[in-house]
Amino acid sequence: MSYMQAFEQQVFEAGAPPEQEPMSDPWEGQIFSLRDAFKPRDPLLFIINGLWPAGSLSIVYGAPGTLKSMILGHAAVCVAAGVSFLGREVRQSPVLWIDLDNGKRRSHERFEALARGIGADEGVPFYYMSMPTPWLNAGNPSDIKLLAERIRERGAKLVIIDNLGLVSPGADENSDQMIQIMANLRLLAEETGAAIILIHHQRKSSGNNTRAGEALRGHSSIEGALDLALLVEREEGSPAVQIRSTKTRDVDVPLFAAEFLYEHRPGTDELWAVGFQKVEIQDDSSPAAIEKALLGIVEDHPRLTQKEVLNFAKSELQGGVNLIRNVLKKMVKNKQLKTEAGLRGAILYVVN
Amino acid sequence: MADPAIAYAGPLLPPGSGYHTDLMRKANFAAILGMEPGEAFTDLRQRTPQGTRRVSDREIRDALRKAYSDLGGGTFVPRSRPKPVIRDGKQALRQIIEEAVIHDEVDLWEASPIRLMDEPKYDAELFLDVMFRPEDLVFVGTTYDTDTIRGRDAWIESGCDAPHIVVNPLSGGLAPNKAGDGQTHRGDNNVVAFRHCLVEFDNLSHEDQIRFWSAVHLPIKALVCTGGKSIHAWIDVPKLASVTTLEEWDAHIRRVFYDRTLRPLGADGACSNPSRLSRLPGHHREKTGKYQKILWLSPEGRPIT
Repeated sequence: MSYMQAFEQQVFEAGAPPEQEPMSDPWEGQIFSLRDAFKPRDPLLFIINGLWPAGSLSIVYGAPGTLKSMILGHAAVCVAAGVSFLGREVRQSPVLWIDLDNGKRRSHERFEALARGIGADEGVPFYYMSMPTPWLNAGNPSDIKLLAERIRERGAKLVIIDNLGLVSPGADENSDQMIQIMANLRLLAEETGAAIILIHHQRKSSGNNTRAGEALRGHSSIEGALDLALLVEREEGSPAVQIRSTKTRDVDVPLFAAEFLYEHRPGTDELWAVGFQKVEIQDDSSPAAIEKALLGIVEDHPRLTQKEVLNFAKSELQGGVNLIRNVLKKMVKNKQLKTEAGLRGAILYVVN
Repeated sequence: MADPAIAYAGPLLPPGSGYHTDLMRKANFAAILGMEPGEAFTDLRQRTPQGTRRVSDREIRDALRKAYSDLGGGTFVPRSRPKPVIRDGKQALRQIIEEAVIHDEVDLWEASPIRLMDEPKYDAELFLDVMFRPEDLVFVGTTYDTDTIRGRDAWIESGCDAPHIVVNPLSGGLAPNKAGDGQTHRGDNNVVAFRHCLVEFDNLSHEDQIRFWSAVHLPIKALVCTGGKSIHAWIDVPKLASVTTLEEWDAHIRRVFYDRTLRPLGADGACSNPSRLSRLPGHHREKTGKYQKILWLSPEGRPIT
């Protein structure tokens, strides 16, 4: 090669864009086979037994004033202190609460009162952020990454975000913009191994005949991304709240209830100590309760038509007729009940 | 494009600070505006400000002549330049500089195939002896001299001390000048052997120039410090291409070596003619108080490292 060619070559190579590293496979090691599926696994680890497993994404929702934040606060301090929650065992772990709704003063007051309510002292690993600056945006992957680091730093296994609407600034919660936000939050749960619980609002009105999950406000992707959705309901002025599952992936959660207990700081309206205690409740609206009732009706009155079974059930249960009909169909499919042909094509139900 | 009348009327940059390029630009606008060449000459002569060098009438006339001859029917017909080897010359230059292992004059001096003297004041004799042959006629002088041309050994024996030297041997006689309107002793047409070409960078630090020259794969015969911040590299032309005529110089050196590779890197394209003046080592430059000196010297062109 002549000097002229060698020099041109040198200049050409020096001016060429830097060589790209061969692209590494970003998903390397992330494709599993059945060999992986058949490997023994640790049992599902619940942070609160029967409710929230580690690495899960859930929602607790309800109308304003239903004490949903307060009962979750109680659950949170129980986990941090290793105290059972409404009779359920907890796995003691650090907890991180992200408040975007109540503000610092109210948060300090509430968490002090909640901790005092279970006798927890200030050494309990309960952490909270209130109105953080910059704001947390769950639609922003870098925010999620930073939050994941904070969660890992503190070893938090329960993270509560109050609330979903405020952590999705600029996103229309009724639009598919929520898909990415829920995916980011799901990733947060996966990467940190924490149970992530979002507080959210209930749809203002949902007819009696609608599916229970439809009470959850916003785009269908919200419910779709969840492992558990719990609806908190409270009659106005009542100290009792009912909590029922409207979506579950892991275990059925029977309806449960709790009574709100509180003390004010003497001479003020400030909370001094708050907590909840378990209340026994008759479940007449959950699928499990409907199933139990239907089984009793058909046992007591074999060969009723569907209309007759539904009329009996409606008189005993709170659930909507569509839910009762669906449970009935499911019981036939599961062979708990069987059908026989009646006159003029009527379907008659008997216990299998 | 700028308004020709406005562009022409603006002040000229001072000589020594970009005057020549500005002069060419204004000469082009004078041609576009249809001014009489004589009128443009008088105007530009009067508007030439004081600077660090003298501007001859010839320089202005040459600029106007070129501008008026390039303007064909009112439209410029620019000569096409060969496509550069690279698009991002700055990146290439930086990359080459970063590859260098020699960073300063001392290392360069140590690496020189011909042992250089500690004192630069005798560099002229050494330089002439290595760079030219006994039979060569060499121009040594100032920018205003035109016929101070002697045999190499005559210069060595007389202990020459002048700021400039033409990079190639000359005929010693007269030949047509570049403008074609006269004759000269030291123009491109006077060159009898195309042995060296000069390369200089305008906007590169002294250290980066050392690093560049120590890293490039070029047949270098000499690096000369100008006594300012510049370094003049004398490149061995026969090792680049076979050049025996001005046409071959134009084809191989100017169009390929300069236009394709050196210019994109930032080298001064004005140095691409064979009768270029360089700085003669050993001369003490009053303006800077420093010697023009040899930094590296080889009888045969070769890369420094």
